[in-house]
Amino acid sequence: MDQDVSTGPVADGDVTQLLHQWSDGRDEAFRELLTHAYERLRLMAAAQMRGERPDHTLQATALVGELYLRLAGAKLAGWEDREHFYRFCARAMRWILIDHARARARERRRIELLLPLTEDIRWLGEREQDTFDLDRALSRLEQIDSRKARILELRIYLGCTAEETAGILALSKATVDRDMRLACAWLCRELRPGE
Amino acid sequence: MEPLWWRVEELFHSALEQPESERETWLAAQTGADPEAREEVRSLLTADRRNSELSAQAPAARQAAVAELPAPSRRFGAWETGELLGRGGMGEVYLAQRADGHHSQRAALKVMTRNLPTPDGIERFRREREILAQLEHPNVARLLDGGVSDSGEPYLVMEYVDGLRLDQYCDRHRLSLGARLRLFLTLCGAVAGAHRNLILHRDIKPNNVLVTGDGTLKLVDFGTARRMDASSLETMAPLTPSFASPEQLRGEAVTTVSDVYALGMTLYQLLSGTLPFAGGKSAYETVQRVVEGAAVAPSMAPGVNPARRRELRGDLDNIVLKAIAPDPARRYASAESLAEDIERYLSRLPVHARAGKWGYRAERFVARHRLAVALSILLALTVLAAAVGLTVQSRQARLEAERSRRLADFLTHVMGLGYDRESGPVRSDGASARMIDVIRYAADRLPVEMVGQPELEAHLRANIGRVFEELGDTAAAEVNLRRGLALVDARRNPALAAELTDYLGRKSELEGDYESAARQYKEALRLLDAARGTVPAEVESVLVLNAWNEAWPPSEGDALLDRGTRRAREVGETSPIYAQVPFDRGLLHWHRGHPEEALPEFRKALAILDAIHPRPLEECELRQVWGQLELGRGNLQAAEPLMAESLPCLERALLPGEAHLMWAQLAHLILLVKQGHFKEAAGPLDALVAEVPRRRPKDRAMLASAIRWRDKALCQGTGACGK
Repeated sequence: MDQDVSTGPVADGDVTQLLHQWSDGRDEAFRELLTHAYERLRLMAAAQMRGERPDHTLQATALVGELYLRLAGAKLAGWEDREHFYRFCARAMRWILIDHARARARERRRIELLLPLTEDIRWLGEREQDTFDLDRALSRLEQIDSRKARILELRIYLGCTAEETAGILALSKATVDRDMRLACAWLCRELRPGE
Repeated sequence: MEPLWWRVEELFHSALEQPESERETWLAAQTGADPEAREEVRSLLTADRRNSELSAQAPAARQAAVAELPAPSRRFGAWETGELLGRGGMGEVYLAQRADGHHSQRAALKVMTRNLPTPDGIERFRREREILAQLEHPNVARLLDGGVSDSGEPYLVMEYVDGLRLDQYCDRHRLSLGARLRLFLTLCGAVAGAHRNLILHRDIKPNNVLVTGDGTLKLVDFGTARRMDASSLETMAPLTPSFASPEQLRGEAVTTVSDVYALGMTLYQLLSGTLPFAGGKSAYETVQRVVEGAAVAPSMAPGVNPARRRELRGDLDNIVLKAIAPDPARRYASAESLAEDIERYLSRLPVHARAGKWGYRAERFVARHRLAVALSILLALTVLAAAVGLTVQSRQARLEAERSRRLADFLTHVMGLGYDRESGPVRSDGASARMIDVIRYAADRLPVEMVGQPELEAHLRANIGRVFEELGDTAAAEVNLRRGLALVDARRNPALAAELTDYLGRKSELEGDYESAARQYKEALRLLDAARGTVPAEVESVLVLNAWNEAWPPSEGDALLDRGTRRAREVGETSPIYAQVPFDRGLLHWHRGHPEEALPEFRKALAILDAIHPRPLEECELRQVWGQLELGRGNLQAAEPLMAESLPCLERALLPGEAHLMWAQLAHLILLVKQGHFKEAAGPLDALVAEVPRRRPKDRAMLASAIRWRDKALCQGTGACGK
């Protein structure tokens, strides 16, 4: 699975600056921010689509379009820092997936998890129920250990690398790696109990 | 007791640092006094190993297809599940039946999945049950049952709606614009009902609106519904972006107008087949449009055919755009006000306003004291005919034919069956019942009296047919008109054929069969053109004005109206035939959205008719139609006196079931409903709904209208839309 999505058209330092500019009232900064997020997701989506089965269900532009929809309102929510922003993106992505999966379930078509997941949990998405189970599991994890839940969210739904995740959440990479180990084990126990 | 997570975490990582062979003993040593912790860490370590294994296998494993396992039948309270219908956000939905097999009622059973439900999930489930239990509306899927299964899973049993999605249903049945709007009104009613119970649906879209085979609309899936007075409003609930309002997407407070927005989007799709922000070159562009609120008007949406575009332009465009205004304050304040505007639009459609085609009838009614004269003449004619022994072979044939023609003319003249104004317009208000007897008698005698005179008979049949249809006996009208057509050679006498065909069109129109009417009128006009030069002004003007209605495309319609006006003017501007002209112009103004320009025309028409004594029935009809137009626009103040004045004289003069009369009766009841007198109107409306199919089987428009208003009256009068 490709993890080369760390380099987007806008470097992370610029994102912070854009955020500041934006909160100063510069609309074009906001647009650029969103463009950046858009690009990121598009790259991720494209990465997932490479070499996939012919009946893949991911419609990259539609997915991204939806995220933009949700993000477009972000201005009003008063973004304060990068972490908030990215976490919002990840959260939005999560809901988009649930939405898509639910729609497909209603149409009695097979549900497939649509985003690339980290190398550490490649099995995620094999089962139809994974989209929903993952969402529920993450909600539970949030109650137990919110930091791990956030890490998983960023890595799974936004495809952030360990380094990026560390940067977003102001943690060290080592902490992120460590947390990931336990979080993935926990997730595996939740979603694949019987094997 | 739950082991502390932090402890577990510490142990987990430390355990991993141990060599694998020693891990278990190390763990046992560390958690001697804490078996739960040991178990927890052990299971996590196992999972960790499994995670690696699965991840290693994954690329290959991903290729394998995931089979859809059939769900075994399960028992929930009194219900037994069958086929899986779908998976929702909160759980699965199965088809279900009562386990005891007594009732074969099918239901949809929604259950929390076997995975441990979160406290949040259970709470939402319980809330949905509470919400649904309170909502009883004919167009909302009902909650039948609910509870907790033996295995501890909460479940809901709801009415199973076997139907198509709203947009699919409309397309499958090729519903017209009016029919789609009327269905949509039902949806507005359901949403309004929910709002009255302080419930927001929050996810209205065609997917959640199903229509069954018999045309019943049901709003389903209140899964995202929330009570309006909830203290904590979930801001990021899952919803469908295309139909969600901007404020919902932004996570702001959601109110009834958010549901209105969704209704507007649904309507948009129903009318134009697409969504307002479609057509962007990329999703990015599309999304930008949503955010900027740059909706394309429904009539201008891509893929809308020209005929539909014409229908949508103007009022409907405005209604839809208002419903989906980005700023909540600029939308309709409620589902009801949206529905009202649509109803207003529907009643402006030229259905009941195809009235007032009375150029013919102005001279037709016979005064009470004239009846005796007419009957005696008929008798005389009979005697005469016998005496003269009419045959075409006789040497005197031409003279005798001439005489009998004159007699026929005289009869026609006296009975008021001709166009000749010199007979003196004498009419009565209360004589129609007897008039019908006379006419029936005359119709019966015609074959005898007019033997050997097919054209005469045809001519008389045309007149008689016309009288029948205006009185309300369209069946007799048809018999006579068709018999007349059978007697006429259209090539030799196109004018007469035109007349008969034109009146057939009028008959269809009065029955409510507008498609046939349009066809017949076109044919009549064709025949009229074939007879050019030989048709007198009184005949042509009446035929042309008969054929005209507001539904003609402007270029043809205007030409027709001009032609009718010209010839009617030749008859005379004080003639009742001519009164048709300003009336038609008024209707045209009204239809085009300029009622203020219609009123002076109506008054002109009334002035002409007022000058005729006694008051002609046409005057009543004009007032009634005018009143109905005002009713349609919501000017109840103006509508009431117009309608009240005219209803009694219509009731006196016309047979029950006659078009103008029934429309007037319906309109009167609609007025009551609009004034808020629901209980008073409900019973009569119900009776009308039963009567319409009996008396006017082809009039679908009237039936649909009556049903709609009856339902409205019942719903609002008894509060049966929601508790």
